[in-house]
Amino acid sequence: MLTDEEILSRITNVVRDQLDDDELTLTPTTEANSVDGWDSLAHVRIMIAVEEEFGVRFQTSEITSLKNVGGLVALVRSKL
Amino acid sequence: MSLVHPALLFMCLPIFLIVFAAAGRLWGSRGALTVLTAASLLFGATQGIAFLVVIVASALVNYALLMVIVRSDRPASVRLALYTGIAANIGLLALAKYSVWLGWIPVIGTASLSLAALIPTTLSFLTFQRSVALLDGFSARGAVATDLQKPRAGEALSPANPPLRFFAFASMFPNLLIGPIAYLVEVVPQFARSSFGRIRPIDLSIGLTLLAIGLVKKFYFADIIGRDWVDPVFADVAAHGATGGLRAIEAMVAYYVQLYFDFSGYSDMALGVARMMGITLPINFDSPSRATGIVDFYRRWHITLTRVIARFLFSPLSIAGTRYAARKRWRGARAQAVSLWLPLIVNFIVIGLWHGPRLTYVLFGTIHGLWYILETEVRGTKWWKKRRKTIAEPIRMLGGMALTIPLLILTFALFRSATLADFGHLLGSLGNPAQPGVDLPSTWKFAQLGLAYAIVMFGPNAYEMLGRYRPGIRSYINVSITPRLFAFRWRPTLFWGLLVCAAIAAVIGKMSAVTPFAYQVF
Amino acid sequence: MRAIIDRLVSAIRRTIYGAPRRQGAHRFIIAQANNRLFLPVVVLPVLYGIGLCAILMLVDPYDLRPWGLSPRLTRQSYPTIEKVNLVRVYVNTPHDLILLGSSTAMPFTEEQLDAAFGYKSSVNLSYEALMPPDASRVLTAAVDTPGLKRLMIGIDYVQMRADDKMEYLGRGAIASLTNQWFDMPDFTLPVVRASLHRLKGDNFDVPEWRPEVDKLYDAPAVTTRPDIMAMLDDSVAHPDPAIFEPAPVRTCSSYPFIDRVLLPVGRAAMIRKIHVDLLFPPVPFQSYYNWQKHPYSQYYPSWGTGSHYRQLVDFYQCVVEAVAANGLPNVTAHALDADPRLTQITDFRDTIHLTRPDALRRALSAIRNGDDVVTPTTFATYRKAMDQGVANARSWRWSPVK
Repeated sequence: MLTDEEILSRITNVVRDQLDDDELTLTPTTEANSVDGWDSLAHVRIMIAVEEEFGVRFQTSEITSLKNVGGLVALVRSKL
Repeated sequence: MSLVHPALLFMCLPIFLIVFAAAGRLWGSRGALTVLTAASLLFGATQGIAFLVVIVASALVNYALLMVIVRSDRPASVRLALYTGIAANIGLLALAKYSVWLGWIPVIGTASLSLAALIPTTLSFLTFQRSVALLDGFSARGAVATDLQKPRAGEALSPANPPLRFFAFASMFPNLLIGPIAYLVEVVPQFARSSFGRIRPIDLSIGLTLLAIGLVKKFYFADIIGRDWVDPVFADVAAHGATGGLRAIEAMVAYYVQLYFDFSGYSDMALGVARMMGITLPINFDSPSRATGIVDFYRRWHITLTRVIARFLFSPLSIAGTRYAARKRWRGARAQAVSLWLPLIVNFIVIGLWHGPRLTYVLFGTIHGLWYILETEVRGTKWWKKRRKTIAEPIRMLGGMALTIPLLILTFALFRSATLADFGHLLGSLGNPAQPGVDLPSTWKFAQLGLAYAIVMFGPNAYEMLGRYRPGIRSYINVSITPRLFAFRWRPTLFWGLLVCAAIAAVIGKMSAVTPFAYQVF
Repeated sequence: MRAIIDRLVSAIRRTIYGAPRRQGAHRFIIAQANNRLFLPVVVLPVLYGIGLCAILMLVDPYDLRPWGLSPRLTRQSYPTIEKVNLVRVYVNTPHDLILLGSSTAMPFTEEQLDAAFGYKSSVNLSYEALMPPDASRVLTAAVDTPGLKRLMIGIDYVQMRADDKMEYLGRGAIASLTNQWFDMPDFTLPVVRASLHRLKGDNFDVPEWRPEVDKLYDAPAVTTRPDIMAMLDDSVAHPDPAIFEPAPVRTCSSYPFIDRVLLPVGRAAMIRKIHVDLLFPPVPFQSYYNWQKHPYSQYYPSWGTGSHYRQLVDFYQCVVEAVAANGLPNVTAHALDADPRLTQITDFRDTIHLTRPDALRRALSAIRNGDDVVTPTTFATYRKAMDQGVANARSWRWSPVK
């Protein structure tokens, strides 16, 4: 079983990869709006990449109704 | 009746607020909600009995389906209820709005024509608000169920509460006709607060300020610019197929700000009226006229429509496209095409069509879609990412505006044209010689248009000015580009009171002639 | 000094940007601007608006609401825009005679109408640029006026329009008939003050309306306007030759006025036993030369080729024949424009508006006596009189010395 920290760190890697920004750090309270380049278009790519990373599948409504990175971590954990 | 009618502002609204507060005091938030719902139905009745019947029937259907969505344990029933509701809502809207295109179909065509004749008022905004409530219920079942049913502290769960909160939300008069389109999860929790039903002086102050700003935008800018600069020229083009070159340019330039003042004025008023009873609605406009790109523009213009279409149309399409590309291991242009370009084009054509059954709207949407794709791709290139760091931010913004605003002016003119031919004639007129005596309005009118432009380019918007008091719900966080000199901050003080007082007093003299809002027909 | 300016700037900054309070700033008067008196000040204009609204809702001067005081109007006292707003009041209260036309019919006073026909409650509802769509709505409502005995309709070239165009006043007149209780064209200060008078038991009226009305009737003769007279002189002395050409053929069905206004209103009036007079307003014969040479008119921009006045006469023929063909014995057409007693240029305010009171009285007595009645059988005579009048005017010259 993965811990939240491990999930967060793997998500961070995915986002860094997708946004082409190696210095990016994410915390559970980070919101997409506050991350340079994480707009609605990038959001979809990121989420699909996260799906691939963890081998899970999100509902459309789950993808669009996330509040922050913590929510994403919880969502991933609930699918594992 | 709309929000600019003196009978509403100076008779119905004060009476409503008194009754609302009294009911809130006597019977708590449920009493206040009952008064709000009743007032909204009365407001709906002023649009005609047919309108009232349709919105009540639609609210009943939507409520029943929403209850199935949030309560049913069977996923199949939930999905069925969702699809039925969306289909019913969109079907009703299509019937009422697209009779021009449906007329040829037997039975449906006739029904559509008679429905359109019975209900001249737009159903677009309220249909969207209700459809999105179903989707909200679907995507956040637990939260919506709680919001709708949560009793106040010390009260038992009451079966009377849920329908009341839903009905109040679905037919709330401030944003019933022309938006902003609010999410159920944004508004209903506010009804559930124990303070709901109490009118606070600070809410009244904020509400009156937003109302005054909206009234000034409508009566002193939108209506006057339309009358002096825009309407005569478009009428000329429609009647004669041509106009003077200079007039055509003036009309296009003027319409760009007219539409902003008109629609954002209404939105300000809607937020203001809702705030007086303590409800905060989503912000609809965030200084869109000085957008630095088309992407930026749609984060600032008619925000509540952008976010609905993006969330419920673009996102699912894009997710499906991205998954498809991932499964096929597509890379590059092919992957972009299915995950981004196609969803974007569909997104923007739907936004265009949402305004009505006109080819000009379809073309408007298509152009904006292509533009959006182009801008996204350019912004995504390595070249630009490297390059943008070498250009100072103010220069980048000014450059963005210089590219964006002229094209927006051009596409707004397309939006304003009744037919593609009219738009062609307008463009064709650009090369015409000036008509002496007709082409150049007075210096005073120029000053007025200049002032309008100065405000949209340099002024703070209402929500920045009132920023300390959370005047509206933000959907997108945009950078403010108001120069510091003009970054005024409102506070409920005597100084601002005198300004708002002067604004209301100045508008009172203009209110005998009520012109419809541009978006009242969409 | 420097310190004072600094403090002032700081106080202003605080007022408009809400910058943090600095020590001592509150001692300045401007700092008063930062006290919390927002609501008391803003409530003032709101209360003012509520007051205006309340008065209008009580009095309901335009009869838009199911409630309100009974109307009490002053005769011959309303500027055109007010008259247009009052259309619903006029057609809902008893009147003997209603006159509706465009600007050419506006100068007839209510006293003149009463005196000519022995009535007590005539009213002239005419307004500038009456066009077929609004004429239809207002006349349809006018026919239902309680106690109406006579309806007079002024027909000039504006009624030749074939489109749906309406002007500001026409839209106002329709709005007066279709407005709902919450529409408030009455939300203006003069109307509120007039309503206050009504509330006190006086008529619905304010003194400042009077001069606007008088302006319409006390206009000086056109002969005192050298610019207009010089233009007329030039048009007659050097006429556009087209004035003597025949008019292009236009079918009677191409005039919406006939099918949509004249015939339905004529029939409705017949059922209610209301007499209808159609007025072809008098115009100085010199002016037809002017129409030909300077044909621009914002109210009728579509004169084709050929003689303009003959196009008008052709239209009148369609009107007269339509009345006869549809069996409307209650409708009479009066060709005042061929009556030499009414077309003297000295009686006009400008090139088309007859305004001298004695001339207006002559016109009304001609209507009462049927001097200028034109029917299909007499139409040729009328047409000849028009051609003759235009031809005779060629010898007219204006000499400012005279």
